[in-house]
Formats: sequence, structure tokens, C-alpha cells
Amino acid sequence: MALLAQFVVNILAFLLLLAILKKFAWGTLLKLIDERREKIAAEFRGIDQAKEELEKLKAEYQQRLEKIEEEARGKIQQAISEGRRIGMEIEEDARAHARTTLEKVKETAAMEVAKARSELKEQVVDLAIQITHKVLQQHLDEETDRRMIEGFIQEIHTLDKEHD
Amino acid sequence: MHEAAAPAHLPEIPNFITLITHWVGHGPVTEFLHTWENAIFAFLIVGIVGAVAAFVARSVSLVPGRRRQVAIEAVIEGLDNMVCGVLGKKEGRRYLPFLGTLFLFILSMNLAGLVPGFKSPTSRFEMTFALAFSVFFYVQWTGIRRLGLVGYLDHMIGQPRDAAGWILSPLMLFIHGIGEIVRPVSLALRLFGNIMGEDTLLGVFVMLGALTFAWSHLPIGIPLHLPFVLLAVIFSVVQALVFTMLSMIYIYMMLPQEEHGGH
Repeated sequence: MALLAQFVVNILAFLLLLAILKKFAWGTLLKLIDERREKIAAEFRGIDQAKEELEKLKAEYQQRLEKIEEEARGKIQQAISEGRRIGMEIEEDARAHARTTLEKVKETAAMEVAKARSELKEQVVDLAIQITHKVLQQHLDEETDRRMIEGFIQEIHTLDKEHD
Repeated sequence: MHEAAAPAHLPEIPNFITLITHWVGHGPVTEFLHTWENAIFAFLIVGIVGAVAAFVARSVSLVPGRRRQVAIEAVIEGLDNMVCGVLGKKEGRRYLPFLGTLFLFILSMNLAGLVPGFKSPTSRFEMTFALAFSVFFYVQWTGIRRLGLVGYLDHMIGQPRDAAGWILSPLMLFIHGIGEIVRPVSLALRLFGNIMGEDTLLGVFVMLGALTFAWSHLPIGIPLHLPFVLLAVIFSVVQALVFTMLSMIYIYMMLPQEEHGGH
């Protein structure tokens, strides 16, 4: 009988410990361990996600950088082309301007020549009139006429040379 | 039967109850202490283990700052891994309190024999049979709860699905019944035999060490038992582990097959 009682009491001792540990160890500590495990796992997941995002951002920045470089190269090329175009335009303008100026100068020169010729004609006429006056006033002999005419012709040549 | 289970002639290291009974002398108190010595130590161990668990659980934090929390968590987590490793996470968590408590209780009782003034309650078969009965009852209850009464009986008669199966079902019931009874008995006898043998070995060597200089009539001796203390620690852990692992396997074998891929 005492043996049976001890047997039962031993079972009760085990059940008592089971109840105590269920309350304090298996409940509290397992929950805590699970929480910690979950937290660590979540943090690791977070780190992995952050890593992935970082990789994505890096790739994105790399792409952007390449795009910016590409754009910069394009803009430089465009600027060079534009510069060349503007240069050519300036050159073309300068050439056109020079041509215009040359034409004007030629026209002016032609006008000046015409004017000079006209003036020369007038001078010749005046000179002829003056000579005629002189001839008429000093018509003394053939030798004098001849010298006067030769002097007149010489004067015309001198004027021609001056104009040329 | 009591005398056969606790033979008086086997050498045993004295504990504080034997010292008290020695001082008090014969009487009802001595008789009570002597009869309930095992249960007293069992409850003392329950009190100590329970107090440690309660003390640690009171001041736990998510980030463990104290060594005692780390140590207790290491034990709990180790048991959790062991049980969940065999039964799976879901089933393991369901049976961990029972199996974990069983392990800690047996280990504490086994090691108690190595503490001066204490005794291993597992060196007495009343305790080991009580634990084995608890396992037996828990396994059968688990079977009925998980399989249903019909499923449990079906399991016990060998799950007959044809005429031959039904003809053999009484034999299967008998074999299964014997098997279910023999398992806890083997658990109890294994633990009892090992711990009793270990304590007896220590008792013999303590006695030998004490008697070495008995001729000189001086209170000195040689601690001859010390090398066996380490052995006893290993035995204590191994026996607690074996009892728990086998109990776990008995539970596993009683669980529905489809959840575990057969057994």
C-alpha cells in the first residue's frame, strides 16, 4: 500500500513540475525564444531587402550615369555640329558681305572713273576753248601754232597718264 | 517487494534524511522519513527546478543580459531542437512540455545523487515506474486523442483491411498490448538499474575510501569514488536522454501516419 502511495506521489511530483515548467519555462521562455528568432529572421530579411534595394539603386544610378554620359556626349556632338554650322554661316555671311562690298566698291570705282572721264572731258573742252582763245589771240605764225598744238597734245597725254 | 526494491545491504552514500533518522533514532518520524525519503527528495528537486525556472522567467528579456537566462535558454532550445527534430515543428511544440519536463526531472534526479546530502530518487523503482506509467498513460491518451477511439483501437489491432487481417487482429491486439506495456517497463527498469548501479558503485568506493585508513582510527580517507563521479554525470545525462528519446519515439509511433510519412 505504501508502495502504491509512493508511486502515486511520485507521479504527482512529476505532474507538479510539469505544471510549473509549463507556466514558467515552456510558456514564457519558448515564446521569448520564438519572438527573438522571428525578430532576428525579420531583421535578416530586412537586411536582405535593403541589400537588394541597394543593388537596384546602384544599377539604377549606374544606368542614369551612363545615360547622363551619353547625353553629355550627344550634347557635345550637337554643340560641335552647331558650332560648325554657325562657323559656316558666319563664313558664308562674311563671303557674301565681302562680295557685296566688292561689288559696291567696283560700282563706286566705275562711277568715279565715269565721273573722272566726264570731268576730263569738261577739262579737255575747257582746255580746247582756252587753247582756241589763245590760238585766236596768238595766231602769229605756223611755227607758233604748231608748238601750241603740240603742247596741248602733250598736256592731254599728261592728264591721261595722271588719270590712269 | 519493498525490501527487494530497496535492499538494505547495498552500500549507499548517506543523505541528510538518513543522518536525521540516525540522530533521531527509531520512532514514527524516522519511519515516515524512511518510507517517504524518495518522495521527499523528488519534491525537493521539483521545488528547486521549479524555483529556478520561475526565478529566471521573472526577469527574462528579449535581449538576454544575464548568464542564467542564456544558460536556461540554451537548455530549453536544445530540448526544443531535439524534440522538433524528430516530431516536426508543429508536433514537437505540442509534446515538448511533457518530454522536456521528463528530461529535466530525470536529469535532476539522476544528478542529485552526486550532490552531498542528496539522493537520486531514480535509483528507486517506485520513481522510475511512476515516470514510465506517466509515459504509458500519456502515449495512450495521445493515441486516443489524435486517432480517435476507433482509430486507436484500429491501430491496436494492426489496422486490418482484409479477412486475414481481421483473423489476426486478436493476435495483433495481444502483441500490441504487450508491446505497449513492455515499453514503459523497459524504460523503468533501464533507468532504475543504471542509476541504482551507479549510486551503488559510488557508495562502494566511498566506503572503500573511508576504510583505507580505518586501521589508524583517524577521520581520514581517500576519495576513491571521484573518478566515477564523472562517469556518473555522463550516465545521468545519457539515461535521461535515453528515457526521453524513447518516450518521444513512442509518442511518434502513436501519431497519425499520414502526417509523418509513415512509421
